[in-house]
Amino acid sequence: MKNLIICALSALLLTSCASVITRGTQYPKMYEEKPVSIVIMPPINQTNFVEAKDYFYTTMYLPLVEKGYYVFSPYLTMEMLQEESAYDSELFLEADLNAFKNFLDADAAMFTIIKSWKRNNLGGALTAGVEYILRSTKTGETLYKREGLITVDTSVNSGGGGLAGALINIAATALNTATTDKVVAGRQCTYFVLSDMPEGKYGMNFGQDANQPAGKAFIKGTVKK
Amino acid sequence: MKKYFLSVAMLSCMFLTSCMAPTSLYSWYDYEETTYQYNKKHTDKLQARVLEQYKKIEKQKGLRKVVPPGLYAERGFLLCKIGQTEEGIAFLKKEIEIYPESSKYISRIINQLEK
Repeated sequence: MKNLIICALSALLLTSCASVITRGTQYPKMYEEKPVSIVIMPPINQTNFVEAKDYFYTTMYLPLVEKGYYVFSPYLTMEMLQEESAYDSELFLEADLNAFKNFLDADAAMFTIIKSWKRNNLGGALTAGVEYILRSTKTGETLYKREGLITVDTSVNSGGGGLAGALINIAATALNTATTDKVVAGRQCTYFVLSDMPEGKYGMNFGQDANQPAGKAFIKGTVKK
Repeated sequence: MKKYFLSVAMLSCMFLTSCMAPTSLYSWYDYEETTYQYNKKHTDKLQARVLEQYKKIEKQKGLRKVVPPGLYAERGFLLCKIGQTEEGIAFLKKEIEIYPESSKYISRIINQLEK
């Protein structure tokens, strides 16, 4: 009986060890190519909300810089991409990216596909669903790919009981949701999805995070505002 | 007893120091929200707030103690757009100095502005 328990525990331990995927195995090309500089491409918007593209575009800059990369300011590149008729990233998603290497000296280009951009006033929720794809401008390889579906809970609980309390909560939730910019959900989505990205040249763990456990390729979650 | 208090005080200090230690590479102040609002609506008031943020960001308390990549370029570009070309170009050159990987692109911008 004792041996059986030991065997079962060992098997459990081995299974749990075997299932851990490291960043090194999940994103091998990141460690091979070690990109230093990144250009953020204008988002590809698959939703009906036209404004999502422009509003979401600038939200990726800060988290990528905090990951230790040199990131070309989107406020500068936005104009350049518009002037060069490159504002439609759909054209480049699977195309050759050498032009960005030659023109900007960017090592990689970050593409995003906005799949969901919603507001639910009564339910008190803002949702952003985005896929992030980092491609090398030298080899064209996908270096990092991850998707997130993040909901920001904007519900309000005033603490009041009874029917009056419930009505106040509904009204307060609707107001809180309506007055919260949807970009808040977009920012949270970027923050969660990019948190798994290996660190760049200026990061404190640059080149030392390959053995850290990697997150799932798709993450779904809710955060409280 | 004295030793005990000393140890507790030292441990408390260590704990507080570790709590206060910066975890971000850079200090951003209100940069993200201010630039986002300015991007949505180009008003003089918001432009002044953005320029104020750039000044604040010079005071870095983050782990790297330098201005984040791209920000000197952004500041310089905005200054050039509002007619303060000389000062703007100086910031663009500062970007290249701190981040040489930006040289190709920023030099191209400087060349266009100096024409």
